[in-house]
Amino acid sequence: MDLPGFGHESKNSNINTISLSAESEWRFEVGADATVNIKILEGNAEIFGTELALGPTYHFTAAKLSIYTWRGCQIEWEGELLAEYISDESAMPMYANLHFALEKLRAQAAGTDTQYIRKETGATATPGQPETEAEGPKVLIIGPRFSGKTSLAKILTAYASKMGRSPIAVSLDPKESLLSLPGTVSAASFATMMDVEEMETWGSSATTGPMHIPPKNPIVYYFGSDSPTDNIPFYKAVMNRLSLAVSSRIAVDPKARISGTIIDATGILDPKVGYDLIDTIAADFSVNVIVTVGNERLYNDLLKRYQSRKDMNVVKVQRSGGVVETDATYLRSMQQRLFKQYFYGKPASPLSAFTVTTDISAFTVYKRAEQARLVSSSVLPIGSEVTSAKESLLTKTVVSAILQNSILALLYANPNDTEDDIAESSVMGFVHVLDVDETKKKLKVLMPIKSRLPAQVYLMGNYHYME
Amino acid sequence: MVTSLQEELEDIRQEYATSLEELTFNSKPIISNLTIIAQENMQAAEVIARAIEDHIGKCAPGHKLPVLYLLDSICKNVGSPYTTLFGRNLYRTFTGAYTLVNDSIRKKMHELFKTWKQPVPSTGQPLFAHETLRRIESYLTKAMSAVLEIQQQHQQARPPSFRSTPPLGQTGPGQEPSRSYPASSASVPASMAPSTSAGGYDSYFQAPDTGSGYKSYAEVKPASAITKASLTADLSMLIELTREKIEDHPADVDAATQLSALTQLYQIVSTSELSGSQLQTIKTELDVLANDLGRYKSNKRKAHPDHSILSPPSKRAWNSPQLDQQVPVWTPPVATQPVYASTPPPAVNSLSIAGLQPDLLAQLLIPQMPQQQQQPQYVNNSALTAALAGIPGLVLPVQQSRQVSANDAAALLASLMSAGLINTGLSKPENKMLEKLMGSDVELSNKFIQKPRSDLVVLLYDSLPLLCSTCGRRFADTERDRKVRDAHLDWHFRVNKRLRDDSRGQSRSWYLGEEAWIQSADADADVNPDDINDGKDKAGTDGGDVNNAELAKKMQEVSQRYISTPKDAAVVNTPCPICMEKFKSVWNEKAEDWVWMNAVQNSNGKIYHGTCALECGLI
Repeated sequence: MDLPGFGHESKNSNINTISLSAESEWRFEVGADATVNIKILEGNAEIFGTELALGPTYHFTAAKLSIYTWRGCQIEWEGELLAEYISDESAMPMYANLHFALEKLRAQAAGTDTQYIRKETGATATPGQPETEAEGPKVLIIGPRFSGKTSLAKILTAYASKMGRSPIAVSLDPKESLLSLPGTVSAASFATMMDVEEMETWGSSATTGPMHIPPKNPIVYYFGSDSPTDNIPFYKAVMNRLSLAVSSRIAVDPKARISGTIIDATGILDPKVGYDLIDTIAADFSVNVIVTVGNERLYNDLLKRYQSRKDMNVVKVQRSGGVVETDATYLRSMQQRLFKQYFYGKPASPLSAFTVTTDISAFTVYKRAEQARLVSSSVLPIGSEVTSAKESLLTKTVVSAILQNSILALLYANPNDTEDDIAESSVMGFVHVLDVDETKKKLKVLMPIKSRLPAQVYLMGNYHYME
Repeated sequence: MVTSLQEELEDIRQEYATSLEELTFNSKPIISNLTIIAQENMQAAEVIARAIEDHIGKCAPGHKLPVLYLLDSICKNVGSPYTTLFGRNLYRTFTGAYTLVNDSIRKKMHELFKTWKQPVPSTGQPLFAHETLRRIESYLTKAMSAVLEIQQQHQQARPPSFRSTPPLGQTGPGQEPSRSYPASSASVPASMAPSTSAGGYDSYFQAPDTGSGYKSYAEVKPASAITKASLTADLSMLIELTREKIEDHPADVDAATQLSALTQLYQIVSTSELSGSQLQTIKTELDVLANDLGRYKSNKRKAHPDHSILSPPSKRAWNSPQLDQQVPVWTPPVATQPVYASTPPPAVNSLSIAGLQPDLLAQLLIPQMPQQQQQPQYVNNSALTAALAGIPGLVLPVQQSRQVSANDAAALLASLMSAGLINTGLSKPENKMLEKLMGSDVELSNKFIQKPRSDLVVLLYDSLPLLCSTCGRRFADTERDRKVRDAHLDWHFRVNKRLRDDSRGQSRSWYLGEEAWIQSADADADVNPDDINDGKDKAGTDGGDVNNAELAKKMQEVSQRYISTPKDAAVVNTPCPICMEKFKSVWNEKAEDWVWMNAVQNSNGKIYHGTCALECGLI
């Protein structure tokens, strides 16, 4: 008997519905091998500030997320969750206020930047009227590990682009990844929304074909390992280079300029190395707003540290209760997953990768210099490392079996460039060394795109990937 | 098998119904997309037709017209079986909508109906069955005559137009008919009463009508519709009135600001082309102002008949159908003011013509008092204002201007600009932010951040009422943002088409180099503001919203680029890294050299096919 409404129940018995009341959130965790389908039936819902459409089904794999609602919503979900619960204690109202305060600064900048006004309104320049430029807020988010810094950065970025801005988001935590892979520092302009299905990486970088969400173009520099303390001078070098790219972009892009920058820093906070790094970041990116997340001492320290700077605004927010503390194993498996996704995409949107074989001799690989002095420099007072800065940051590596399974960053640099130039080059992409045959002097490499192996410089880090 | 087919049809119906939600304004791209979908799913014609009929039946009156246009587009472009399917219920569909919409839409519906009577070139027959068309026609004729009848009744009750002074004899009873209007409307066929005057504020399609409800029948004649001429007339009158006020109170700074704003508005209205709805919005705003000035005059107790031309105080400017949902929220302020009891100033002022004593006039003014007091209360009561600020949708231009100051014409001008009606400065988002965010309480301090301010969340949702149902992106309800949205929907449509058609495997692209990234602003934006300002929906590159024609033009342009054939043997044999095809060397007369056509070289010396590079967003 085919009565409408009957027969569905048995088929869809694993469909669950959740009602969220206003200003509450549903936190859930999806395992690496599971896929959960989520649909918003009514109301409004957002994941880290990015709104979900009503109707379409979203697919999540290997994710720890929360769906927040300002006005209440109905969620339908299907699949297997590792954990899920509803919380009405959210830091969102606070985060939203922070956004509105920043938005006010953007609006003020927008009203005084003549170049921006012209570009947005199509008006022509008034002869004789002086040109003025104004900059939006440059926000640095700092907090201990697992305080939800990155989530806050995503929320602030998503809200800004929702309100028509094009903020530049910067990720300075090499463990995490913004449209790129672990081991990098990167930045991208968010003129359009993030892909919520790939929230972990702030969406997906461009592919050769069409995508459902406009792809974002990151600028990427390779650091090569999880923690800046592994090699502070090299970290500062790549970060400085990234800040140059961002400020150059801001100079030519009025919309990015008034929209400002949102920087997600690392969780290194010890008063010696950490605070020195914060100073460096603040100087490189001309930061004028520091937001501390969930740490009173940090807030008070920084307040004191910058009290003489009239243009610096230090504020604090609470950490979100939804942050999940993860261990090293989780981090490893997440990173492995990101490597796989870079080459092969996700099940719903698979990508093709290609294997090429090449002569070892045609392959130039560098590694960052790991020297004892670098360790010691990190405990020297600020400014002391200047004396040793003349030493090269990189060393050339002999291509050998040691490269097996490595992830290498392909740089926009040629083998005959100077080491300084190479160290400052941005990343073009990543390759995976599948096999090194030392006897035949051959190398088998997995490439993301069908092409010859580019005869450029490759930079090796601490990352390996097992297929 | 049977079940699955039914399910499939049900899916199509639901999907189509969802897409119809998008069609809230007359948008060619949406209508043509939906027409194409209807054409491609001929097997589901029945359910699609049903979805459209249902939608016309249940959507807000302000949204009915575009859906009727869609019906029209499908019938004219696709034809059978849709003509037959729609023909069956056409009378009900059409007349059902007709009774609920306002006069300007009715006029459009008359025009639409006229086109249906034209024979279709291919068949020589009209679009629908003669019998159906005849029934609709006779309905429309009856409706028109009913309207004219009522109009005649009202012409005796109130001035036929804003400019003329009512005959003295009628002024006394003037209040009566207008107050009892709902009762007299009972003589209209029930189906004809527009949702109806009984003051049903709880019914949300009341909204678009209420503003004009009072005059809706009287205004059926095109002559009394809001035109540029009538607006400029109203404006010049207001300017004169304001001047007079300044003469009385030379120190009145507000009045001076008001005067300059009105003068500016006068210039704008008289020099630029404004659409009907824009005129309507300005008109509504002016009515508020006129009412205030009218009150000023009444207080002066020296009513001039020649100034009694002020139009009746309009209700709220509920011109924007998207905001209908907010109507219930407004019940309290409006409810105390019976819709038709607040006799418009013309009637009151004309009473003074009859030589009545000021005291008596004051008494007669009482019916107006609720409203007169209401506005100041509303404006001055900061607690109430704050509470109202928390109500979704309150960032409407009209309400903003009221919150700031009920009779501040400068605010009026600002709100018109922020509504995108008058493009003299920044686009709407900026202005809206300015209104809401520039309050001194919003600041980057712990105090502000820690205290929940859910009222501001309006800015993330209600200020951006237009929603893309595919990705959840929001747009403001302004002319400019609608263009952005159209371009965005076009982009989705093309991406979906490419995803369907393109069976080639995709790969991860290389990241941009420093120089390219610094210059990639246009590639990141999905819609180029220059193009929106030009009114053309073309744009960006790289996965952005690119107009097909524009892309084709660019492709053509790029394919004509060339580089000299490289000398290096290794390079000569290197294929394009994107399509892996080798380049062909041809002799170019102009360059007097062997060249590779359709080739571009990037800063690293890599050579791509121009068209490949363009497709991948490298150039």
